[in-house]
Amino acid sequence: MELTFGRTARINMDPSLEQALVERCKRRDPEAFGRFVDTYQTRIYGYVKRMLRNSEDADDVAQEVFIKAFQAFDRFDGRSSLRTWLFRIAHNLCIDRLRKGDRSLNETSLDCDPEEGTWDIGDDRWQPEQMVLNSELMSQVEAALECMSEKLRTVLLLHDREDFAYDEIAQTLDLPLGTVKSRLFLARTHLHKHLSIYLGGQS
Amino acid sequence: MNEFEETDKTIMGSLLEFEPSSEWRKQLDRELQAISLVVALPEIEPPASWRASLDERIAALAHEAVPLAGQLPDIHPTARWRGDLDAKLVALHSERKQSLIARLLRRLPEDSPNLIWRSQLNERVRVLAKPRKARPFANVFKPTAAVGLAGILMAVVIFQMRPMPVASVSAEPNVVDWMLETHEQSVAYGDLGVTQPAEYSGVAFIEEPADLSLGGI
Repeated sequence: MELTFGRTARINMDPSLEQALVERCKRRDPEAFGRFVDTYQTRIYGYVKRMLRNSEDADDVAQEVFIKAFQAFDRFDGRSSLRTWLFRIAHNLCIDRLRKGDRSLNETSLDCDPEEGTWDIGDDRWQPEQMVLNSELMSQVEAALECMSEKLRTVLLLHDREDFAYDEIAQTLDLPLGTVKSRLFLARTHLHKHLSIYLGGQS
Repeated sequence: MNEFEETDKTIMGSLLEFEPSSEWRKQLDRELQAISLVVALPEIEPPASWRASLDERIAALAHEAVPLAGQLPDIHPTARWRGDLDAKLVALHSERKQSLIARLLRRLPEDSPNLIWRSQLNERVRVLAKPRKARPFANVFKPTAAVGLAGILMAVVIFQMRPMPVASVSAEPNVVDWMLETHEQSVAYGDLGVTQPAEYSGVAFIEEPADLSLGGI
């Protein structure tokens, strides 16, 4: 079955091409920077939006990420990948914004109980395979993500959404590798718990 | 001798005249003998088993003792322990439940920014990328102004460092004023009958000051 929610291709830029792009961006070449934004805007925008959960803030912070990157390109030394560097900027700005607005939610909030809601789980037509493709399930996933602490959510999004390796996440978030792994496990467990009603058949 | 001194003397005298009875003396001797016996009792050394048992109990207590938090040694996990934990976590990640969540997250819809967002970003970047206007005149005037300012500051500093000139009477004072002042002072000195200071001697308005000495009468 064709998936309804396809993803754009993962960011796999050729290293030499990326290097050339970086060099041009360092010289503040607007065209090169435009290409850089084209490459990363969807990933950064999605990440920021899921981290902040406020559309206006997300718009603002996502722009701020690229502005910071534009201003700091000359300090990018290539020790980490461009993607890691950019997501690090994004993460730091998201954390700053969450702290300023005190919008960081607790691990679980009262309105995040998966038992509540209007889901008819007794429906005979209910099938796990279809559920995955169901937009309502997706909105439940988004809601469960919102209930997650920022620490777990970051690791989960970077690993499972952005295909970051453990060590890349550790580098981006400045965390020990073991912490990254344990947080990923906890985040998935948290999400599974919240979606257990819908995923019961599969687990 | 007053009444109190007499009383004291009586008491002291009675004390000095005290004679213990023979019975009292015997009693005292018996008590002293008993004390010497107690003192002379031999030491009782605890047996080795008792000491061993005590040491054992103290050792057990030392094991149970919890040092203060500040004295707790840092416990660093070994590399092997860490490696085992990592392996376990990675194994857990590949569990069915965990991989299901991972797949689900990959299928979340994309959030692409709209065109307005992109055009706003482009505008902000354009402003940042805009090179500053070249101002050739500024390049000329700025150093000139700086040199001028430095010169002024230097002059001010030099004048500040010079010793202040002592205020002096102008070389060409107003002659009329000077004459009037000198005359008034001379008259005043004359009225008082004293000799005017030498500085006014050149202006002898009173040529023969009055002799107020008795010899003149």
